[in-house]
Amino acid sequence: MSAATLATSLSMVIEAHVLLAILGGAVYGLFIGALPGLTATMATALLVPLTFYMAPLPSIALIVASTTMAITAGDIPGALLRIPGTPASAAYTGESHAMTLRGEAGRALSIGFFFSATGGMIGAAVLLLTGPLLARVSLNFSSFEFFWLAVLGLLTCALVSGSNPVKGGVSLALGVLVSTVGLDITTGQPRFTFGSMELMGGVSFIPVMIGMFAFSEILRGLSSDGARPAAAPETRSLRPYAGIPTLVLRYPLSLLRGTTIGASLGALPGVGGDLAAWIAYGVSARFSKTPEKFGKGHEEGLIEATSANNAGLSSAWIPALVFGIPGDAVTAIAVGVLYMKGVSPGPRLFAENPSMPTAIILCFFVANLLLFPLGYLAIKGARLVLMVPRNVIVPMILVCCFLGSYAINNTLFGVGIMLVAGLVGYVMERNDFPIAPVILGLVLGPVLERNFIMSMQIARGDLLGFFDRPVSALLGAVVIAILLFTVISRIRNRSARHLRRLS
Amino acid sequence: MRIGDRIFGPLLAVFGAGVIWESTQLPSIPGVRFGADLLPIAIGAVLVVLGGMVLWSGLREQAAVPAEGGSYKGRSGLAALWSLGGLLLGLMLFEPLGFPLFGIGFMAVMMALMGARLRTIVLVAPAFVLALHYLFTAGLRVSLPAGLLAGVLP
Repeated sequence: MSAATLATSLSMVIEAHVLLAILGGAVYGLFIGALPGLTATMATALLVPLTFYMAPLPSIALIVASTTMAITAGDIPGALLRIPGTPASAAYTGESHAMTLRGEAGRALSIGFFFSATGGMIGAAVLLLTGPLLARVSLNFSSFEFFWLAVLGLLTCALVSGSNPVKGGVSLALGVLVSTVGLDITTGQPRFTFGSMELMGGVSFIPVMIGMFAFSEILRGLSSDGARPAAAPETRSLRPYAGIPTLVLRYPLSLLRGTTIGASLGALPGVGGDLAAWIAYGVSARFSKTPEKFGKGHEEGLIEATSANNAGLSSAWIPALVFGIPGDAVTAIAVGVLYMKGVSPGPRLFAENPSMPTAIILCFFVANLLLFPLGYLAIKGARLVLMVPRNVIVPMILVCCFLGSYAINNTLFGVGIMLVAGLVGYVMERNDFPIAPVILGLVLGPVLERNFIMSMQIARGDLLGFFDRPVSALLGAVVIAILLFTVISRIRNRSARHLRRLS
Repeated sequence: MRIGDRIFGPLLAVFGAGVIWESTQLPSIPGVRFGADLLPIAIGAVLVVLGGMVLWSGLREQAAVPAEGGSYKGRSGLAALWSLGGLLLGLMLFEPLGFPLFGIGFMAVMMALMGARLRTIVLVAPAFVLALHYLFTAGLRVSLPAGLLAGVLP
């Protein structure tokens, strides 16, 4: 990318109507993301009619700003009410909510907004330089590599969620099993639908997420062991971003590592966005000097995962822009909007009009920059949520749970799913089974299955075929090494415990 | 509801076996070597193995299942019951009553069971539900059933 292209793109972005579109999209995204059950995809879909009346760049700037903000704002109900906004934020909802219960809601939200914005901006800077290269690498990935990546993500999640990897594995297996409900993705056969038309379409992760995190939490909160207040009073000042510079100096590696993981994995179509935060959280727990603090409201994992989340968000646009291949629903809508405006994403766009994709990446900069002031307002507003008495906030959350589950498809089927998921989540948590892996299993299940079946067909059933390609073999070796390491360290811990008992 | 690993493990294993059995009932498609049953059978097998491991760890723990907390008593027990029963009722009444009436009713009962004052209930429940209704219908263009209030609400 030349300096002239950068200058032209910058002049395109700083035009008043583009900046106004970014501001409008950001405020709208903040609003949607903070509402439990509403997703960034829904926010984007609702914006499409508005883009009919706009030029190409403001249209895309609107979508970019609203998704950036909606995904980050999804951390607000996650931290305050334990309702994650996205599958990615489910990776660290437990951590941020634990901080809220400790009376540090402001700190949890500050970390979320600050490191999301910083990670997003660093990610966008990296992508300006390496985006096309990353996209080319990711397009060389075949079903074998995607299969191993999905396994790696699921494995990481099972190992870092809770203290018992076996129970994490059970939760994960249940999530993947739920993802198989509906029409089979390869043959189109109905599976586990028991004659229900609604189940043919599969089980959406939104009502499951609302049920497992929010509804089960309310049920637990109403029992005798949950008689404590839903959240401790804010013991520290709710001053936004207080103490953040100290955290930057204490955990610079977490920020950089999270950003790198996010920017690299985010470019993988279909898998990246959701995996990045989970893998970053897992890596953080693995290399932390204080792994025992994870899951109890520790800043380190939160910093790494939130940085990865937003860095991955911008890189998810690279395959869409460079090759015209959208990796998720949001970029699919954006590609549609670009086509509608007569702009064809793909390699020719970079050759013929390089300032356009560069301007889109610059919009990410501005949107992430806006996270600081809007985050400030959101954190200030969080005080209001925490001040609401428990006998008012709990009924409000229940109504939101009902409405959020209904609104996803405008059917009561979603509400039914939410209630069942809530009860299952409640029983699981009471028996020390982590619930976050269920969500990742549900999201990555179709990716895992599609790539596994495709790979088996290509390899004609020979499992060694999964190790034929260099990158695939490397990823497979990493997965096997992690499994072996886990088993060996558990055996070693058990022997040490046994020896201690004997002595 | 704490069940304990000694019971949860076998339950998981039986469930896994059930998944395998149900998956084998899926009709096979001629010429398709790796069909719809492959992944569910693999997950079922994983659940059987992990169920066994959960049972094993439950048996290794010498202590009995701790009978800590988790019970529902008095008003909060009723509130827990209503949070489930009320929403189940919502599955039937949501469309005929409409969101505003169902939402206000559900929220008012829940607030009363949780000990909110009457004045708070009367002020908060209708205001919150109606605000949500207009936010979704007018702001986000998500259609919600108006039910009995169809034609009454602006």
